[in-house]
Amino acid sequence: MAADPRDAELERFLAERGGHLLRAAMLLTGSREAGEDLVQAALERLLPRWPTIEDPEGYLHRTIYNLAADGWRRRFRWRARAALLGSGALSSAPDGSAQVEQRDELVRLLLRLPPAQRAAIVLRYWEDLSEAEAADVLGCSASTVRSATSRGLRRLRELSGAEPAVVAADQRGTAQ
Amino acid sequence: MIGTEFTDRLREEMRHATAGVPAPAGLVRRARRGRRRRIVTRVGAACAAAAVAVAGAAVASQGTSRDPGAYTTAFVVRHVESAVAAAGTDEIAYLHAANGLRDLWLYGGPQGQSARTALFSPAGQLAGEVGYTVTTAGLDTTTVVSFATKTWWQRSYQGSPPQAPKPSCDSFLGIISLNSSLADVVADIRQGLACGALKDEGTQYVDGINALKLVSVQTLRLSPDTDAAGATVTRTLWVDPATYLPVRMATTSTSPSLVGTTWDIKWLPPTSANLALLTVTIPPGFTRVAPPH
Repeated sequence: MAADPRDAELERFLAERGGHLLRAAMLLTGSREAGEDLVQAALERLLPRWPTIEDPEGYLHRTIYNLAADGWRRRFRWRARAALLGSGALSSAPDGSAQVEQRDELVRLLLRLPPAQRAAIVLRYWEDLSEAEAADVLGCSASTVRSATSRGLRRLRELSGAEPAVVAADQRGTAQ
Repeated sequence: MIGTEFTDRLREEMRHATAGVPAPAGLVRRARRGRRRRIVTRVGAACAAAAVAVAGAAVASQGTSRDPGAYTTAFVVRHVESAVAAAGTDEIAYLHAANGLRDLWLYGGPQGQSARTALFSPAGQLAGEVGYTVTTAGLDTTTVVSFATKTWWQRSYQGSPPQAPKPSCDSFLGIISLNSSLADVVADIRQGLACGALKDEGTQYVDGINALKLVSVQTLRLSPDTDAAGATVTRTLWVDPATYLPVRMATTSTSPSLVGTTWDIKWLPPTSANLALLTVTIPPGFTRVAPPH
């Protein structure tokens, strides 16, 4: 069966612009395979509109972030075990691995944030978008982005141990 | 207040984590396939609901005791059969044994069948790995890694091209061995469906999915020594109503010659990262030894 020429056009578009989308999806989901799945889910939504849609990159960009913010991957917790077997437990662990892990500590901690906070942080600090631009992508108000970003950063900082006093205070507050 | 030092570190880490990631390839084809299947299953689900309504109305109007589920079982089975057949060439099956002793990845791609099995001790330690591939030309390769002895071996031989498995209705047992391929598992499920052995037993939650439960009960003579009168073998499939793919399968039997197993199943798209899960990695420092005779 001959390939649909529209698919070839879309593949070319992805080859040119898909790298950025996949990298964003990786930060939102925590792994390359999960990122590819997220981009694929966004593509499935684009297909019926392609090629008439005016701004396919913008459409995919918004869809990826909104799917991620809606907790699209909630049903895929099992991947943790697959990923462990596929890499960490079985691949070699060179001496520099601890340094790499430390260097990516905040990225890994990002996955422990609620999806909406994670999306806001990636938009603000990886994409370097303003609050208004991030709000446009997520379809919410700038103040919502501001509070999600603020809460997310605060939690990240607590998780990374950079603000132990705040953690201790929060734990006391929770215990009461 | 979060300082710029912290956000600068966050920026740098995110850049570092995503550096060098190339553009995705082949996603359009996968997305179109995924979309097609979703449409088919959505239409199927709507038809199933309509069939239930029609059957219910028929029962009500005739005042009979006809089982309304009987009408939909054939419909569900047909869709499961079709979804499993498609997944046999489109997706990677990840099977996790409920007893925690085995994880499997199975794939039947254009180059042939691949399988990787991770074996765990009862304490949950990784004890060994087995990789098995057979190409469409019949080149059969087995790789075995032992974590207990820190050794590994590999054996290849040129056999005849693999034939499609032909299980009989009596062999619908759900036994997955170390050299089972996805084709074997899919053929086993399809055979069970084709034999009409499975009956609809409603729904049950499996890993957050309100799955359709299909059960088959057979009386088989598994062993002439222990099953002279026949053993009861119960096979259950739990199917995701959104995709009609099995999410769990279980076998139990009254025969000591068949130890039942429950498998949780996930269906993964064949992304490069997921395909890498099929490859056995030899840990550094492990010694290659001669394969056993």
